[in-house]
Amino acid sequence: MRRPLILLGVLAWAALAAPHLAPYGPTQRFGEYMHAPPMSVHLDGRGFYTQPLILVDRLAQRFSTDTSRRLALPGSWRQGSDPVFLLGADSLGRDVLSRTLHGARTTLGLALVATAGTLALGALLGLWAGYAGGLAERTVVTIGDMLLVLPLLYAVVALRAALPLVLTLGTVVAVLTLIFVALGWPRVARGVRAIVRAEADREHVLAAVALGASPWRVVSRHVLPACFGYLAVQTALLVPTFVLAEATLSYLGLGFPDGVPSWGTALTDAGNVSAMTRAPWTLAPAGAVFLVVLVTNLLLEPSRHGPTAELGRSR
Amino acid sequence: MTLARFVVRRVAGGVVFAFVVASLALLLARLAPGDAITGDWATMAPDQRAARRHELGLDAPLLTHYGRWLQGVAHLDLGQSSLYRRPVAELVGERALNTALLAVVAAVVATLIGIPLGRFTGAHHGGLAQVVRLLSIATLSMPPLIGVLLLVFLAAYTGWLPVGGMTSARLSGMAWLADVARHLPVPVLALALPLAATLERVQARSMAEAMDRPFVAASRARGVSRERSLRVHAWPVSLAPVLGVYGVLVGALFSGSFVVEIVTSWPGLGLLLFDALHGRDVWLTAGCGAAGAVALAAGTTLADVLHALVDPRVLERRGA
Repeated sequence: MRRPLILLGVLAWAALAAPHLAPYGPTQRFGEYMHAPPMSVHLDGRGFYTQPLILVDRLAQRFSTDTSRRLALPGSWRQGSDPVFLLGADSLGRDVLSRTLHGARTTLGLALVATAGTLALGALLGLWAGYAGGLAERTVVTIGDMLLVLPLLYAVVALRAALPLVLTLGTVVAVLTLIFVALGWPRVARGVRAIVRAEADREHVLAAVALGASPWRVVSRHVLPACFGYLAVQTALLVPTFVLAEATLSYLGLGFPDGVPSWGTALTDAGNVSAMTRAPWTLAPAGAVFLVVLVTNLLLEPSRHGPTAELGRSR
Repeated sequence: MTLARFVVRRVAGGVVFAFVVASLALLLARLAPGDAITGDWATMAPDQRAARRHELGLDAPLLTHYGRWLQGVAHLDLGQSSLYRRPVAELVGERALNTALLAVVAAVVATLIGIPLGRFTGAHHGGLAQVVRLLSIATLSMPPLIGVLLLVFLAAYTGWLPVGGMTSARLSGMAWLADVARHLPVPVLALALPLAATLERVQARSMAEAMDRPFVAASRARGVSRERSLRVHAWPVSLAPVLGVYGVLVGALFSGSFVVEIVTSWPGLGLLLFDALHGRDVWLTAGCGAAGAVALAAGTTLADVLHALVDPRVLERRGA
């Protein structure tokens, strides 16, 4: 339980600190260094260093390493005439490491906002349905069940594909968040409703009602806390789902616009066979997605929640 | 609730579901900005545009258009695709078969890998079981999009397997089969590996739980060997929760095959729906929605029936 949390902390810190951590801007181009390979890091008595690349053949994009010179790390970042590409450069000569770090902000940021929205809407509807019962409950359950059966990726892509292709960045974020929340809430609401149903007859709730507490106070103070464990598990399931949904949408050209660094847009560049075989290091954002999913799987691994924890996972 | 009633209810629910999904798909394609002739706008004269839109029924109001589609459906006619200029039913049927091939092979592969490994890791605690467990968690973290990119890279880099499409050339008979079989591994593995890992995890947990049950201890006390007691007493009981997961796997196969089809250009339903949405092909979108919903409902019903056959308690829980 502890180690994955540390890994999660490192990932979150890397995303937050990206502008300070990343050696270069996400759109900064080094024309001489298209598809430059990752530079290897060495260690000697004076610390870490790497050696600059020399362009040997522009057409074949072949590079060789200048072994006579030494670029101290991390001091040589940003300054000096020789750029340092620890994860190589992409087809436009942009630093893959910098783009992956900046992309983490976009991708994880969107996923976190969408998760927060999904949890809020799902918990609200679940509480309402479970506590009010009757028609409200039947409506929420029926609509939720319909949405739950739909494969998430299909629904997300179908909804997005039906909207205008070119949108401004702000609109894209709003539209994607709305789509994610609209399709994700039943996953949260279903469990919350079940917990509320079980809690509503417990003594402490009945006592609160008997003392004259308003329905809102009963629900928020006496019922909602019972859902916290479930909501935590759902958070761990929703974040990787939305990270993946963003990556898929952007990969298909339906997510963030090309200029915005995100893991999905970076994969679009890397996703065709010729780019992939020539510069496999441009697939680094795929590794980042893998890490996020891995961390959440490790968090959920010693699961006390039975096979249900597995359910949302592979979607 | 009896099994027969359960099946009837699920089939009826599936039909309603398919109908709703197809209607929503039609609505979505119709309300989206642009229509089927937007792409050819510049090359057509105004009267040509009007004629083509009339031919496609796009000049009719939404409800009339929907009414025509309903009329067609009543006659088992899903209309004509504006993108491919072919009957939708024929096109969707062809593509659905390709997706079914992919999904069924992937499900079989996932089962053959996941269940034996899960049985092993659930019953053992040695170094090998630990390695399998770690590999499984890593594979679980490789969703189809990531897996397929990695496999396409490996296939292209080594040149061992073709990276896209379903066939390389027009072949027939055995040569066609062999060609399809060479195109299958990349998309199938990308789909099957995370599912195999899911099955492995569920099977391992349920195997470990079954081994703690009193009847397994009782069989050991009677002098039954450990291997036999695992095989005869623990394993069959541990299968019920695993079968319960298959209903969910159908959904995962669907979502996964969509991504995999687009990356490897496998000519399946997912790629067709994507093209239909992009080409604003209203009737093809509705047809794809209907076919996808029917397949999804059929898959989950089949999985639930199998689950109920093994564990009849499911019927009581679902019926409640």
